[in-house]
Amino acid sequence: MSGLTGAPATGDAARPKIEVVGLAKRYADVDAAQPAVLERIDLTVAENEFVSLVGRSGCGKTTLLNIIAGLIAPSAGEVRVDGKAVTGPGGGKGMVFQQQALFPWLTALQNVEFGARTRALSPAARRREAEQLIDLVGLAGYAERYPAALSGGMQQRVAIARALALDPQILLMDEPFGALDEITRIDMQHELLRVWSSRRKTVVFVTHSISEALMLSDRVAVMRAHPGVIAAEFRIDLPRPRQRTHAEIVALHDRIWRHLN
Amino acid sequence: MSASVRWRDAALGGIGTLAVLALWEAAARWGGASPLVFPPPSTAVVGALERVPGDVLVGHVTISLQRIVLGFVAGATLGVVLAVAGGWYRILGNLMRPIVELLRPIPPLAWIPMAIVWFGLGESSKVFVIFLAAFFPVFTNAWKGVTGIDPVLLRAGQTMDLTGPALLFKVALPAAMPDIATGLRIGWGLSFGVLVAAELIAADSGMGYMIMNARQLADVGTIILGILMIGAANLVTDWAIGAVIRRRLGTWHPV
Ligand SMILES: Nc1ncnc2c1ncn2[C@@H]1O[C@H](COP(=O)(O)OP(=O)(O)O)[C@@H](O)[C@H]1O
Ligand SMILES: [Mg+2]
Repeated sequence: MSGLTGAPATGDAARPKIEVVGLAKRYADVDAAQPAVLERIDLTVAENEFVSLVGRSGCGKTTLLNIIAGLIAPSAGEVRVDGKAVTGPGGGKGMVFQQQALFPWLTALQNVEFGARTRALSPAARRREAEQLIDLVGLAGYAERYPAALSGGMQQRVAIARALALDPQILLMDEPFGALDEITRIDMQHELLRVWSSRRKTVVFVTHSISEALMLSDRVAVMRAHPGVIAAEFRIDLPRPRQRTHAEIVALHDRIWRHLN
Repeated sequence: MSASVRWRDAALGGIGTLAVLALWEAAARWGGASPLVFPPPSTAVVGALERVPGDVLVGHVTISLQRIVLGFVAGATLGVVLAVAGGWYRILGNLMRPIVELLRPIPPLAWIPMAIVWFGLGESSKVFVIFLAAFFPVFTNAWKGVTGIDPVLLRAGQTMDLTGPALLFKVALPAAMPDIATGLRIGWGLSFGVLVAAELIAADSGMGYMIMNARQLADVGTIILGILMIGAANLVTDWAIGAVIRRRLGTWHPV
């Protein structure tokens, strides 16, 4: 599929999908003498672009993603999607959370169907869509399991399928593979690329793994803490799937590493 | 827990119960105590069954269960509704929390004099005391369930366009169900304990009354039969409630 090769994928790549402008965040209940969690964040993500945020734990990645999702309000600045200010969650912004966030009282299939609930689909069509997504993330045969009876990796796949079931234009992913072992993690990266190539989305992907960001993204934004800022951005113009040992990947890994220290 | 393990555990419980009864039987028969004060359970039960006609026994059990069901349903319903509303809407919660905390530590039995003044010796006074016994544990547990939901579940719901009451009914309520179920079960048990006490004091029917009446007639056998009936009725109904809860929640929640 053409989507797998090269970035950006569409001719319309210059069109901004998400604009983060002059964003700052200070949690209200925290000592005012502390540095802000986020300060002067500017970030533009083009339509169908895959952008990763990397940074150490605690530098504000989840906070930034939650603000883009509309789940928490910024202290200053704003987020625009398609030029319109974001005022709340919903409305085509799918999210995969850092923690397990499936509804434990629903089966895998029901969780995914729940994601499709706002779409104008008949119940039968919604069910079909959910089944297709379960297949897409490689969980055929596990559709009737409850989350408690799935491994961490499987739960994360269901969460991705659920977010995709919204048919969102924007997919926000917060360290979705952070809790997985290395082998499952690499499998999931491949699967995510496969999904992304078949259902184009604008993706903001949070990770603390530099190599994960390099394998997946069109662009990597490096964050630093206290206060949380975007310290540098790197574009990766390599076709996917990528080799971890590719000279450019290795060189970028090195440069990003130095920015983090 | 699988069904076979449950049966095995139940069988062990049965053996333990029979062992205690056998010990009691032996102690009463060969321990030298007067059978008027400490009769063996077999003599007590058989004698009581001869003295108290079957339809009278059934009548006592029925009226007791009727009181408990009325009081429990009222108390549990109000407990769930108020706790969910108060746990979800901060203003309501702030309004009700102090008064509930003030009344909660008062044992329901302490309300019996008040209940008699308000409702007389009729059915309402007993139902009212049971209502109180059911309300507080249900309220407390449902409150804990609604306010203790993992925020990420609510956030997930919000990203799927749920807000306000839809978020409450589709995410918060199902997530709180295990705690609500715990509250219902505790509330049922307490209702039972309180029922008997209420009937001991102010009733002319029911299992508690049967025991009190037998004491006046110095009929130890009937007292023992009454006690065993109360225990058995609680055991059976609690087991039934547990089975319903397991059916509804056991698929996803360990119960
Ligand atoms: N709800 C909150 N209230 C107060 N401080 C918070 C809250 N959430 C996060 N923080 C603080 O903000 C900083 C950034 O957190 P977070 O966005 O979770 O970082 P990351 O996802 O990069 O690990 C941390 O210092 C954290 O302690
Ligand atoms: Mg985080």
